[in-house]
Amino acid sequence: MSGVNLIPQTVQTAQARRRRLKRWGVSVVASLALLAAPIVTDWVRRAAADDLRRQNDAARTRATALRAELRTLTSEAEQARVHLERATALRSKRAWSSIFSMIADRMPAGCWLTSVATDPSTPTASAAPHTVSALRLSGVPAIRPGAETTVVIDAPRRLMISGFATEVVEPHQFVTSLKETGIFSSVVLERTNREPVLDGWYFRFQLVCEW
Amino acid sequence: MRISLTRCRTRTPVGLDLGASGWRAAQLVRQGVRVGLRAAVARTRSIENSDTAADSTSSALERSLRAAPFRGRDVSCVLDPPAIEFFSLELPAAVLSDPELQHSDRGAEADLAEMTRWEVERMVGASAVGIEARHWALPPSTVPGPNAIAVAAKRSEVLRLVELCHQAGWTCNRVDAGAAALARFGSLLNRWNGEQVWGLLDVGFNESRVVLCVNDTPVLVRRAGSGGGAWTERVAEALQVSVKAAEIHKRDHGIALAGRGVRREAPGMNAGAQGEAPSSELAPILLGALRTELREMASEIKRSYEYVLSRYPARHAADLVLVGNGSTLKNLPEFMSGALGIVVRRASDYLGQDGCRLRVCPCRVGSGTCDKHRTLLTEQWHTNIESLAQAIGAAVTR
Repeated sequence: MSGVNLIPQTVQTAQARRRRLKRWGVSVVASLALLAAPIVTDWVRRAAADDLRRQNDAARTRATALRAELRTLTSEAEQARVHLERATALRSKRAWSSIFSMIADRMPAGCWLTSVATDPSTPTASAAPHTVSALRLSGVPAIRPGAETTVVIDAPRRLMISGFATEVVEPHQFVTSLKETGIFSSVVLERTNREPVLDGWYFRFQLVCEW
Repeated sequence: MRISLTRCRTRTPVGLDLGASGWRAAQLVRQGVRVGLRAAVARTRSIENSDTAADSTSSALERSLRAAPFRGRDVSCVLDPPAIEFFSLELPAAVLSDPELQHSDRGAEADLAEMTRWEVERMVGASAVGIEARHWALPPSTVPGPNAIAVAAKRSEVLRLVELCHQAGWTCNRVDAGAAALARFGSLLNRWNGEQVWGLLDVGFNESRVVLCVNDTPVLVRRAGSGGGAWTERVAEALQVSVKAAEIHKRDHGIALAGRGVRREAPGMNAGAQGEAPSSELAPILLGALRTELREMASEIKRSYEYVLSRYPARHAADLVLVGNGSTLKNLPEFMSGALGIVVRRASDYLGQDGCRLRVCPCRVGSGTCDKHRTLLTEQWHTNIESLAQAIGAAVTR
């Protein structure tokens, strides 16, 4: 096909030079990019590693703080749990008002009491530690396994009841009635005597109730 | 070994045709031996507002080129007379007819260029300063005579074009002669054999040019008469209407094949158009107004064919392809065919036929649309393949 290019030779030469320069620039940039790629990749990886390291350090510091906080909280929880145990132990003690109310209800009309005493007369008010495995902080392992304690306040095991009755059968009725309540494991009439009291003769009795 | 990556590219540079009636740009894509129109854009000046300077500014060019879906930044431009002149030269046949010698021997090439410049300066005379001269060789002939065509262009015009493209953000790598671009466009339309002398009639706004070719090489470039703008003025005078109205009448009615009450048939007319009477009463009037110009044009083309055939006696006259915006005048091919006695067809008539290497989706010319290329339809898209001929030829650089 025929054709001419009327652009002056100098301009064509300049255009060709520009094109060559542009291609050279592109190739140089491409070469530099290819060369720089591994360096940049390594640099990026290093930066990422440094970043991860910093994050790790921060996480460790935070974990240490959290661990200390956890320790504090655990000890607080332990104290709270001891208080709870103590309160539970206290709640499990005898409710004397209800016991006296029950005794009054069950007692025959011809009887009256002269003394009610526990045996021993004073409780051994000391907290004896022993293991309780049921109470644990959820999700947190026990820091000192076996160190958890339950406070036990020893209650009296026996109740000594003394009194008088107008009839000889009434102490027996009283024993039967107390047994029917099921509160005591045993109710024993220890003794019965006929004694003069005030203006007449009445029957003195003594019961021993055991839980 | 030098490997040119640019040869592997399938898309061509953007062919840019800055004409009097507007400008057109086209980009092709190579598909094996065929080429497809990848994208094109045309901007036509209105008849009343033909402010050349305003419309061809770099910013307007940049805006419009950016709006079109072109790829790359390379532009190939064309120049037409009066910016360029053609001269027939007789250069030393020994050097000219041996292309291997030209390509291998840079000294011979420089000698040829120097001879061309000397001959052009001799013909141009005192105004030869600042002239760029190039040439192309003509096919060998048994008849003694010119064996090359020289193209001379004002360097300032060429540089202005390069600068215009540069300001628009594009790189003008080539400024070619419009006639050569037309020949390349014509060679895409049909597989012309070596025995044919075929031609293109470029009906532009200011003037019409005939380019006759042998073996895809333009052997004669000649002014063939006035252009579409002068025709419109003549119609306006005949009808006593404004130029704008005359342009509308011209586009709508065209010319009649013969005067009132006369029917004639011409060779090369398609079946549908044969013997059809003009659909309008205005067509004979328009024919009457333009008859003188058209006949002068036909006789000039006839003389051109005769000259070329005398230079290449073994060959015969073949098709005349109508291109340019003015070639869309109704019944112009039939009229010219009747006057010349050869096949005269518009460029668009060759599309899709055997031998046509140019593929154009219907949506890319005229007002047709297709789903695939719908996005290419821009507001400037009021053109046709005839208008784009020179731009397409400019895009075909090899």
